[in-house]
Amino acid sequence: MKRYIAKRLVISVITIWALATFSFFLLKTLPGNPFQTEQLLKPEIQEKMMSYYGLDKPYFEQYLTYMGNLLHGDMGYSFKYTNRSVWDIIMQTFPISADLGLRSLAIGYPVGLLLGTIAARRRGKKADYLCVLISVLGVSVPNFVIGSLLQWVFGVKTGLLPIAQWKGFSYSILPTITLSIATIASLTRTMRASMLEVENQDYMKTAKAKGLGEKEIVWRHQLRNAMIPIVTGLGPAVATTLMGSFIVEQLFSIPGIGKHFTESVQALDYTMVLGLTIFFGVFLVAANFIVDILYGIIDPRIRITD
Amino acid sequence: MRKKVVGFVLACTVAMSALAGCGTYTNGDPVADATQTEGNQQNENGSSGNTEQATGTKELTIGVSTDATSLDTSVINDNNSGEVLYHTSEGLLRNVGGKIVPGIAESYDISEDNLTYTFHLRDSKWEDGEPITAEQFVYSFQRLLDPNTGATEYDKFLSIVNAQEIVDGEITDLDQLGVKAEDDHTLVITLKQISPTFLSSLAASNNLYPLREEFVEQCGTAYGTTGDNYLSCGPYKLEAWNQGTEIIYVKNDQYYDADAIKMDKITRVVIEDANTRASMFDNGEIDVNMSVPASLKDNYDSDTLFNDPAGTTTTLQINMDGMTEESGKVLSNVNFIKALSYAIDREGLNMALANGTYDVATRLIDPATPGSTDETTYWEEYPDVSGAPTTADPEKANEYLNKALEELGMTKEELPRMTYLCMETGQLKLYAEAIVDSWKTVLGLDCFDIVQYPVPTTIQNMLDGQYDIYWQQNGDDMNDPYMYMSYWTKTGSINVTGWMDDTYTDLINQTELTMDRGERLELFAEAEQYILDNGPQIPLFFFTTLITVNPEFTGIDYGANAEYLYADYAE
Repeated sequence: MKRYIAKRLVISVITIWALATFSFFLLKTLPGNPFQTEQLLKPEIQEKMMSYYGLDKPYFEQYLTYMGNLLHGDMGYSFKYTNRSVWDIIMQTFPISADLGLRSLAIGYPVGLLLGTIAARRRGKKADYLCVLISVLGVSVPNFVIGSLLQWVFGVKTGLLPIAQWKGFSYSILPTITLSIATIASLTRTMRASMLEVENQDYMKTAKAKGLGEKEIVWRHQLRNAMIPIVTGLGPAVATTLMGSFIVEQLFSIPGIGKHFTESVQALDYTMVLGLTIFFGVFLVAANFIVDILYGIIDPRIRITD
Repeated sequence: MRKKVVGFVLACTVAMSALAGCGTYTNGDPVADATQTEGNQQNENGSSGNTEQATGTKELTIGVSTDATSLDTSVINDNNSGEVLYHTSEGLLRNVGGKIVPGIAESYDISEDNLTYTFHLRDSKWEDGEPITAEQFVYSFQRLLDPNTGATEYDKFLSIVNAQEIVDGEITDLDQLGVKAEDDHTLVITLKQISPTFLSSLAASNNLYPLREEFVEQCGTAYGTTGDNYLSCGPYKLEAWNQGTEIIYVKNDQYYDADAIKMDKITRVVIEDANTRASMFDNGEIDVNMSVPASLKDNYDSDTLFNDPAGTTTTLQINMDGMTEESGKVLSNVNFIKALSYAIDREGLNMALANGTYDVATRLIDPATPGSTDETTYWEEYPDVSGAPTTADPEKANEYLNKALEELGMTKEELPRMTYLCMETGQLKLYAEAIVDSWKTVLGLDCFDIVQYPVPTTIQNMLDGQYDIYWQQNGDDMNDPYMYMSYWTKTGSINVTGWMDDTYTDLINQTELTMDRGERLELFAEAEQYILDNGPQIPLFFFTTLITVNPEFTGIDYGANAEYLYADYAE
């Protein structure tokens, strides 16, 4: 186990390094510079800014400087938000997105798993069709439509909940529901399919032949085995959900990290793009690592050896 | 085993709810929530949103689309940061609704030769009671021009003695700049050549507010990046800046004219989504919506909705050199450009895509530009300058096209492919398609390709001449046409249109040689007609900004920026 963890750590570091390097040079191939905003700066001023920030130096030299600073934990300063450090911006916005993300997962996972299980157990019956309908709607209706609809019903029409902003529990209800719908929808589908697949396995027949009760079979054999694909997807799902949603955050005016992913690329805010990429990369690698260990707990067949 | 699984699920749920409960809210508590919700319901019942009126404090909540990026006066170059500084700082002069009025400088003298400006500062104080001195202005000028600051907005002040040399790094001793403090209350600025726009640039600038050297040095690069690293010296002081969420101003008791400031507290909340912002305004959660989508125009009455000029001119800029040699040959033909211009139905586009909220442009200089007297505008003095019809004129357009084809010795089918470049923002794609379509239907030309990129890539392509036709929205100083018009001179550094015209350049240069506004505007009128007849700009629109203001408030306006200095409850 220890050797396994050590090996995984080394691989993780290499992954992050490759990610940073690749992103760095890929970014430099994009035409334009961070000083080209809609408020057009004169070319001679742009040049002065490029040399002020050292962006006129050879790419490799810039790369070495960046990686050197990164080793000291310094991600540099944002160009768009003048003189604000990238790390500070991430630390200001990420907890908010993570908070919202966790809430939506806390609702989305139990509900999604429950609906999926019900649909599979009641296959071909009304309950099944209802669950499938919910999941098809949830997947196909974009979340800005759901969000706007919720805003209109609960905010504008009835005045029960605030329309937007992030100032307290009542403000978090609508965005949490909006964000969890996609999770519920996709989980219902995956769980249903997974449950049905497991149902035809030999060990299920064995369990039935042994004379085990219905409850016992579902809990001990079917559910546990059906969970494996869900757990596989859990790592990336948690990572992406915690990293915020551009659309939901914009719609509900939540100062999360989501908008920076889009905004920084559009503005060519080099340091911000790199900082976010590396931060997300580390998060994703860590999430997958934890999931790999979780496998062993859920499925005794996958025990980690060397 | 079952217990284990259930235990795991339970543990997860507990952990999640614990995390969820820890709260990352930007402010407020459940009690505040309750009152907030109550407030909403009251509004629903049609009662007043100004519940504060009873308690005597005056509060205003303004909804905007974008947060400030920095509060460092030297480095900012965006409207939102400028707006925040405008309300929490004060420079030598102020620009209120397009008029130059005294600021920290009570009065000023200009020497006979128009080269020396002496500003007399009044007794005024920072939020912490420290006096505002001439030395603090000197430091601010020096910092703006110092190449080690990373400032970008210095180009309007290069007429100051030694400014250009300092910017270029040829002079490193900042004290050689032609800005000196004679004593605490006297500031002298010396120019190396006369500059008719110097005073209006100074009044309009958000980059030259006084700075306390000691405080700025102490903060280092962090100056102005948070509310704590900033000192106010204006009508309001900055109480809090929750980045990405809101800025709270409160009345500054130390301000010399505090009696004229009526609001006790102003909250500037950032609501990015236009429809969310509109819903919040309708619900009474915000009192002002600083940017209303044109599609919602008809939802509001005339006492709530205001349409203010944005101070920019939108044109199609033609690359007369062409992206390719073939397209250059065609686009350098003035009659061809005229044909394109006359085929566009500006009024129709405005109605279809902007709900009729824009002003259709048949010329280039902004309608809001003041004239040579206080009572008249430039447009009233020179009403006849024109270079395009407001609606499509197919007959004339085809006349121009035939003339052009004859001169080029080409048929319509022989015309090369041409690239229409625009940014990936807003509705620009719709405009592009509508315009290209009108060229197809009116002129029978089907040779235009629309290309869209993110903002920086688009600008890089434009500056590299990688375009034939470019959707451009440009504007600078709302009070004076010089900045805008000088872009298209031979030395204009963003003039990548291939139009290098001596007559035009001479006319624009002459406007810098006299202080007489009447004489200058005459030159501008001549230059404007000249570029419309011969140049690379097809005028389209003067954009406007739609704002909605709760009729219970007055004194809120949108000039070059959002302005609410003198906001008050309506009587």
